[in-house]
Amino acid sequence: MEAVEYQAKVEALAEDILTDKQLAIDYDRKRQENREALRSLREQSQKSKPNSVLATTTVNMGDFFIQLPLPKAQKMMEEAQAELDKAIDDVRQRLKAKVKLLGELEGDEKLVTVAKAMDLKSVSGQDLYGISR
Amino acid sequence: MESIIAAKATDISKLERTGAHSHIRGLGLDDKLESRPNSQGMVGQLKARKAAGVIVKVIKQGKISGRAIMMAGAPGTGKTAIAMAMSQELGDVPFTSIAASEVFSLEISKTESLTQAFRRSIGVRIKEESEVIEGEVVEIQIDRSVTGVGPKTGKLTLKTTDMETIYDLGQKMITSLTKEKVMAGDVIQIDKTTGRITRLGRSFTRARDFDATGPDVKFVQCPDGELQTRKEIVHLVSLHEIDVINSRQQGFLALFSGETGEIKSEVREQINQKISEWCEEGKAEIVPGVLFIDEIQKLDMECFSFLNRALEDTMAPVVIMASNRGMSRIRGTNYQSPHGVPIDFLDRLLIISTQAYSEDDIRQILKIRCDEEEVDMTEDALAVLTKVATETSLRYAIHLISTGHLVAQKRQASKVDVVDIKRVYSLFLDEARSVQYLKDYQDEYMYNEIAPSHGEQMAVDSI
Repeated sequence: MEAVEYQAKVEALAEDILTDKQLAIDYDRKRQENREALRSLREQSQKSKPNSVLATTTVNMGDFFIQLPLPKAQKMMEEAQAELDKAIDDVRQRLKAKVKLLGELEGDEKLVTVAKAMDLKSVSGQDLYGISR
Repeated sequence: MESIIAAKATDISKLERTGAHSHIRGLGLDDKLESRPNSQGMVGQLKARKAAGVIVKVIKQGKISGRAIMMAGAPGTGKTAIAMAMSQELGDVPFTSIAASEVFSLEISKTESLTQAFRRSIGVRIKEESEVIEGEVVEIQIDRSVTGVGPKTGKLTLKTTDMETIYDLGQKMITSLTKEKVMAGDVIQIDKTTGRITRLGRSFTRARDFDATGPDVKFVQCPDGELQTRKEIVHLVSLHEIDVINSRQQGFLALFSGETGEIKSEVREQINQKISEWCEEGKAEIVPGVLFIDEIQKLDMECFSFLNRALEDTMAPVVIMASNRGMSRIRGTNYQSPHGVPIDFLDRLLIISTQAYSEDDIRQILKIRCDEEEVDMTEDALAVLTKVATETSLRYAIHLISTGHLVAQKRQASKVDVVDIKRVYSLFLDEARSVQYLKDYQDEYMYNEIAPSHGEQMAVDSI
């Protein structure tokens, strides 16, 4: 019975990890689309006079379209972009924790050492090469 | 530089040399740390292997550092073999193996040599992080202004199996792309922080674009997943490597050429301090390793007093030494001391002694070596070889295996037989017969001023 429970736990965790990976991919897709939109907005605002009433753009919000003044649309996109970046970071953190847990459950020593090492804060080349300066 | 290193790595792995200890895969202990009689290439020597197993377990837990262990025993009793087995068991932990004579060099002083060996056995785990954009190029479009003078603009379309997007290119990126000669169908990786472009190869789907491709064109699969990922790589560098890259201008090149020279102690102090800071901040992890010094009796008094102090340092590895001397003179002095090592130094060591092998053990070891060197031997030949080994030495018998194989091949036999063993036994002298020959004909040798009693001692010392 215990073996079945253990298997169920491992499988659920693996499923979770795969879903999170897919989530990261979807977020990244949205982020790239946002980036393209921001770029085209910037080009538009460069062509037209700022603060002019005519400087509007049409934004697609799911089912409908809204006409917004350019600066406002830009601000909205940038906020969305920042939120997406944060969401992707969160997903990655969760993913790391889950992979470590999976390694411990499966008893895969190599995976556990690698996962534990991932918790280190990063060191840049400047840091390493410039100790004696 | 990356490709040069990768190519060299594959070349070396293709060489399959059988060395004296290449048949050893581990200590051959079971879960309760009891030694199995014949396992993982190790035979007999049960007590020493069990002691070694205990030490490996404690090292893995990271609980001891700056401890020293001595393996003492007659020549040919498996001291180096057990050290090799320990290094296999430890796996990821840095394991440096030196012979005591390496410490003496004209270029660097003895203490510097020992310090470098110590620092080579302590690892530091660090993580490197970078945001990269990896994908297959669908299309590159670069526009030049009409006048031909202004800055170029361009668009790069990248895709993975899950998504596709367009990037606007700035001047610098356009220059890098044209320099790398990136075309549609190439799989590239762009580092976001440095802006460096790496070509990983061409996509399989575009393999049929051209009928003929150059010799160094690699075909890779179109990458899957996100376009922009964060790559995290964990490195295990040794303190010695960090010393070298910080000690002078082109420090990292010295790592490859091997001429490191003397490293100033101020540099080492700064590095120690920095690494402790990083450990506190959670940026690095120290992995203390093992330093194996073979033939420890070859070190002199100055080295021993240096070792006394060095072992008490906070950043000291576990040192394993091997000595095959009994009561003998310490190098550089006239004092007699056990194992050729000063008594105050011996006091700090855990001593594991190795015993001579029994006849049965010897037969099993010879069988393992025959398998390792891929030589077929008849049972009678193996019995004769075992007899030879008990009367002369294990190493001599191991040498006879490959030479006997060649002699058997000459008479077109597939298996080595007693007649082959007898032939190589007569061709190659072991130590005792060589000494006898020397005594009988010593008048005919050059520069012969040695009295018979001294001659015997010299021959034994030569191992």
